[in-house]
Amino acid sequence: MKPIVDDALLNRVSLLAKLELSEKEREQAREDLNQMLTYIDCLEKVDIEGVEPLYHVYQSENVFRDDMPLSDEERAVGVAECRLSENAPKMQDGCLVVPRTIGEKA
Amino acid sequence: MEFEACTALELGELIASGKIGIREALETSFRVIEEKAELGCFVTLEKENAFKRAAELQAEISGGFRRSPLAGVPFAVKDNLCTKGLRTTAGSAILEHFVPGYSATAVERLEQAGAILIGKTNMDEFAMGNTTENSYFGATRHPAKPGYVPGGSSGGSAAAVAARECFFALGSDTGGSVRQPASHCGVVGFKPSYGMVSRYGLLAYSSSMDQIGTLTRDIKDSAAVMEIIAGADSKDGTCIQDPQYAFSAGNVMESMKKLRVGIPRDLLGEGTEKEIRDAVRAAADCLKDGGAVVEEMELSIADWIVPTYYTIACAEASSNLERYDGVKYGLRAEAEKLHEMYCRSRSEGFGREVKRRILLGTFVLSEGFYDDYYLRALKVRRRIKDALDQAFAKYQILLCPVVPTAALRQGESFRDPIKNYMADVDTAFVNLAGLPAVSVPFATSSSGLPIGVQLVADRFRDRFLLSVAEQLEWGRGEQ
Repeated sequence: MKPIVDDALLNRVSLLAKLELSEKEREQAREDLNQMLTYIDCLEKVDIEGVEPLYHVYQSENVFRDDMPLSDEERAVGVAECRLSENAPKMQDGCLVVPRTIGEKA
Repeated sequence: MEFEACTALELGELIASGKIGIREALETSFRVIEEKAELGCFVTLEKENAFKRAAELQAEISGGFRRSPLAGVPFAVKDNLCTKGLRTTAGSAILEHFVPGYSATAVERLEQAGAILIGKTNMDEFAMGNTTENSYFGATRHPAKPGYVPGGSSGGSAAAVAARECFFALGSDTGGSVRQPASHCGVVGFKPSYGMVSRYGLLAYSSSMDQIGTLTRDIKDSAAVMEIIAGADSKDGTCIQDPQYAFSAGNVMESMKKLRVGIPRDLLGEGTEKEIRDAVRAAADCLKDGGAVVEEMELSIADWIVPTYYTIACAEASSNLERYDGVKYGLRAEAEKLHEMYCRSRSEGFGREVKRRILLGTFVLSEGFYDDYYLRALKVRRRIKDALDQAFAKYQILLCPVVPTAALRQGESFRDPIKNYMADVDTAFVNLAGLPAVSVPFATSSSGLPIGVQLVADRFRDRFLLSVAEQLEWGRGEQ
């Protein structure tokens, strides 16, 4: 069952994870992943026939609240809690500045 | 008056009776922090607001109003808990300058109860680690034995309490991160049942297992903190709302003579050091002396614990840590294109262990591998939970080690990462099943390192668990 993590697989995983690894890091990552997967492979032997996955320890239903609009005060508190302008790396005219997202392959 | 060694509740009493001023308590804490700066327990200190708060609370106390038994008591908080206006880094470069605009519910409740926040403690980056050597801000050292680690990931909190830099602290526990450093540092580390304490404001690592826990000098203090922080919170959908499961609603142990304790034989195997096994057996004797029925039993899940834990934790972490993208907050590395910006920011901002776990988590969730790895682990998780449900049908408490060895030397854990992961075997099963568990300081190794023992109870029996632990504390004192 254990796949050998090769360059192609590592490329795919790094892309999904949005991580850029140096050559040295790639080597280490390949080794780490292969080691960990070998270790995790022992779960292959566990009998899971008819066993349901356990996503959450005691709750299987979602928790809802009423869909009510916030008051002006509540909205102001929410905005203040964001501290957007204090924490944002780059802002302009009250908007976050990011590299172009439309029109060319981002 | 010497009071650094007091428990939080004892200090609370001294403050309430006017024997100690709150200002004096704060000055003492900050003095000890400075004297022991080489321990590296804190990432950020909060002096100005702490003294301001002290003055306000002192006026209340002097006027005869006491908010809670912990009013005026200095405490610290692990740096993955948001604190309004106070830097919160999660031990990571990616959040080096992040200042939240709100406090975690647990922190807010403690502040409303009059306890005084004095700073943010060091931790393994994003709670990934068990030595507090994986922090961007440097390693925390063992509070009593130079050259050794305090454990992790709540190492800063555990060491700060042990070193008398504060009177109690909050940590977080996903696979053992409160209990293990508590054991290594010789303090009490309690992880509540999943859902007992709101996770609102806790920077998420593994959302189905994370839980805020307490680091204290004794069990009474732990219960006192829990009375304040536990309870329903509409801001956390996984926090239990049903009042029958509330912390205060739980029963305490009626009598030791009715107590049935199981010791999982499979957690006392060859991989566990003799001194640890001896400590567990001594704790068993303590409980037996009190009249409890104690016997060895089999959980038969030991080999599954760590692989299941790491598969699920890393999968959830890979998803939770996607938010650190350099867009709205945190470190941003400049790039022409968006995807490049994401990759560079994250690669520059995350440390090695975090990257390792994100990559593993991403792999197990990816197409072609999801069923064989992640889904399989979730099914084994149910089997682990079922085994524990069966155990708790027969026993009220499980007694086992907290960790297979005493604290390691600095640097030792990096030699063999898998071996290091395996050290989580004694604690991670508790998180997989959402159970409450506590590490109680019990013995000292021949090299002078603290050794704790772990008590585990069924879900929502937190108060019961702490009452048994208190008896163990008392019994240890009698030995």
